[in-house]
Formats: sequence, C-alpha cells, structure tokens
Amino acid sequence: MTELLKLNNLSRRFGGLQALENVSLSIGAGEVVGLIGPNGAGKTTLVNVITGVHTATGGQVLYQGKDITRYKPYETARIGLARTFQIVQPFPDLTVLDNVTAAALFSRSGFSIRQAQEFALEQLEFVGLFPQANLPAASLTLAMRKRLELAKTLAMRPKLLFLDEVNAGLNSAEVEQAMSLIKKIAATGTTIVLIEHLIKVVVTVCSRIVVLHNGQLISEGDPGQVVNDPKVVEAYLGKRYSQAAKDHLKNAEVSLD
Amino acid sequence: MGLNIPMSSVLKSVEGEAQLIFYVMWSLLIVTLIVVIGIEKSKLGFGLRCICQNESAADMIGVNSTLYKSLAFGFSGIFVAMAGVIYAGWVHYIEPPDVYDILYSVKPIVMALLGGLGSTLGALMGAFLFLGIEEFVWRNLLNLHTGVLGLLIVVLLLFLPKGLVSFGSSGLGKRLIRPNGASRD
Repeated sequence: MTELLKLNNLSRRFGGLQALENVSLSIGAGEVVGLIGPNGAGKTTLVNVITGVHTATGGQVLYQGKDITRYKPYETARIGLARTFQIVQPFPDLTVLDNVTAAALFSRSGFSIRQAQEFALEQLEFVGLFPQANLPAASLTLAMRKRLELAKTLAMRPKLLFLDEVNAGLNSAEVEQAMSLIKKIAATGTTIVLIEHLIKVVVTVCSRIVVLHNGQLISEGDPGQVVNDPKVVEAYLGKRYSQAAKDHLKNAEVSLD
Repeated sequence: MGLNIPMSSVLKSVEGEAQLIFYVMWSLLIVTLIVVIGIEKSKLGFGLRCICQNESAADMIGVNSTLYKSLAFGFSGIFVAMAGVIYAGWVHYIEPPDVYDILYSVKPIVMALLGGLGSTLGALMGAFLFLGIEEFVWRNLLNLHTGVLGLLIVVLLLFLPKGLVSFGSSGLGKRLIRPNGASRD
C-alpha cells in the first residue's frame, strides 16, 4: 500500500491551548480511516491544519511525499484534498447545481464551465440530489445539505477526502443513507478520513481507527482493538469507569472459568 | 494650482470637440458594459459570486480568493480611470478639489445600491436614475444637495436593500418561491 499522507509530529497551538501535540500518522492510498475522540480532542483542528485553514506551529504534513505544511486552502484543494464541513457551508443563494459546478470548476484546471456543469450533474445524480438541482441551496433540508457537501467534495475529484461529522444531526434513516453513500465512495478507491461520533458507524465502515484526546494521538489500530483499549475507554468515560470496565471484564473471565 | 491640458490640435472648433467627447464617453460605457457582462459569465465572475456568498467555502473548493478579489478591485478602477482621462481631456484643466471630492467615492456606491448590488443591469439603471435625481435636486434644492443624498442612502438601505432590480418579475418570483423556513447558515 502506497503512503498518501504522512504527518510528522504535527502541532498546533492557539495561544495557551495546545490543540494538537506531536501527532504523527500515516495514511495509505485507498484506506478508510476513522478519526474519533471526545469533544474538543482536536479532530477538526487536525483537518484544518492538514487542509491549510490553520498553519501548523510545528511539524510537517507530507502528501505524496511532498511537503504541503504551508499550503493555503485553495492550494490543497487543487492537489486533491477535499473536506466537508461539520457545519455545512453551501453558497446559499446559488442553485444546488451551481454549488457543485463551482467545486468542479475551481478545484482542477481543464474544465470549461459547461463541462464542469455536466460533471456536477453526474455527482448530483450519485448523491441523489438530481431533482433539486435548480433549487437554491438555502432551501434544502439539513440531510440534503449534507449530501450537497458530499457532492461538492466529489466534484473536486479528491484523492483524499475528509468527512467531518457528516452524520451529525441526521436521524437513523438518514444516517443509513449517508453510510451507504460513503461505502460507495470508498469502493471507487478514494481514500477517506471519517470523523465521526457514532462508534457503530466507524466500526462498520473503517479499516483502521485513530483516536485523538487532548490533541494527542492515544490509540491506533483495528476497530475492535481500539474500542477496547483502556486508554480510549478512559478518554471517553473517565478513569473510574475505565477501571470498572476492566474489573467487569476480569470478572467475566473468572466466571467463564 | 491646477494642471492645464493642452487642447488637441486636430479639433479646432469647440463644437467638434464636444461631439467627439460625447461619442468617446458613450463608447467607453459600451466597452465597460461588454467587459462587465463578459466577466459575469466567465470563471472569474463565477468565482467572485462564490466569494461573495461564503469566502471560506470558496477557498476550500480551490478558488484563489486573494487573487480574485484583487482582480475585482483592479477592474473596478480601470474604467473609472479611463473615464477620468476623457473627462480631463474635455475640461482641459484639472485641479484636486474638483476631482478628488469625497462625493465621487460615495456616488458610485449610491448608484449601485439604488440599482441593486451584484447586478449589471442594476448598476446601469441605478446610474441613470441617480443622475436624474441629482440633476433635479441640484436644480431645485441647491443648498440641500448633500443632505438629500444622505437621506436617499438611508432610505435605500432601509426599504430597498436589494435595489431597483428587486422590482423585476424574476426578483419577486424568486422571493415567493423561497420557503420561509429556509435559514442562511
């Protein structure tokens, strides 16, 4: 598996707050990696630093072996990094189609406006927003806006896609739909980093999970292995519950004997 | 203290010169319109509309917003500068107090507001209507001229924030179609 993205001791400080501390991580092409962690762990900051919204205060971001630490957002967009926003960011007065067309047009050179439009229509078809193509983006429901965000990132023909809580605020039926979409995207070979709070979703979709806590990487590995990691349980539930869980496991083992 | 601009040697008669300037000014207006409409339909115009709606989202899809905004700023200056050149040729004499009046910075904004921001047709309509109003006020209420201008801006911002173009059928139609519940977050 070739390495697509590599983070070397990446750090970001906001004044007195160390939002990211020496995060080192490697993501291979075609992987679907889950990025989890409690609120405020630095997940979104990590995406922001990689895509250039914030610049790193230390460390390096290597993409296909190239140092992109100091790239601006539009530059990372043009080399194949796309992301959705946790709080959706459409162009409210443009139509759904124009929203996606803009993404197709500006992310890569070589498209005329008309070609970008045709490509955008394909993406709308893919996410199921074709019937809404000519409505203003502001008139969509939240679930549809999340799908619009997806269509926009897909129109950028990304190599590496960051999905920042695409399921937050959706009901379970909508989550099912979104997940089948993500699986379809993964099947096309796009590398995905999925930031998600719903553990069930992460475990079923991701091949590997990375856990952030207080800006540090505390665990990494197979979904099953990570979810049972005492450090992860502690980060989410606190020391007492983590101990209780351990005791519970021990007792269970004893009773099995 | 001003700057004298020598009269062109080709045109000896005042009338001939007036006519020339008249046609040159109109040509400039038409060239400006063509360029503006061209930009509106181009990638640059599309990018600027995206930036206008949500700059960080525009950055994220690969729009170089710094470059685009600089271009917009540059284009907004080019045509005014050209008009200034023609104007100077017409009056033969320019002096800072005449041509650096603060009102010259305010008036184009009022014209755009009057017509409707972000619309070529609006800017055109706004400019003509504004000039009409100005001539009327200038002739009848000389002392209140600036005051009336200020009042006009306030009234426009309060009651007609989208300008004259929002009276057009398409503008009204759009507003009716949009559901009330749609937020703009």
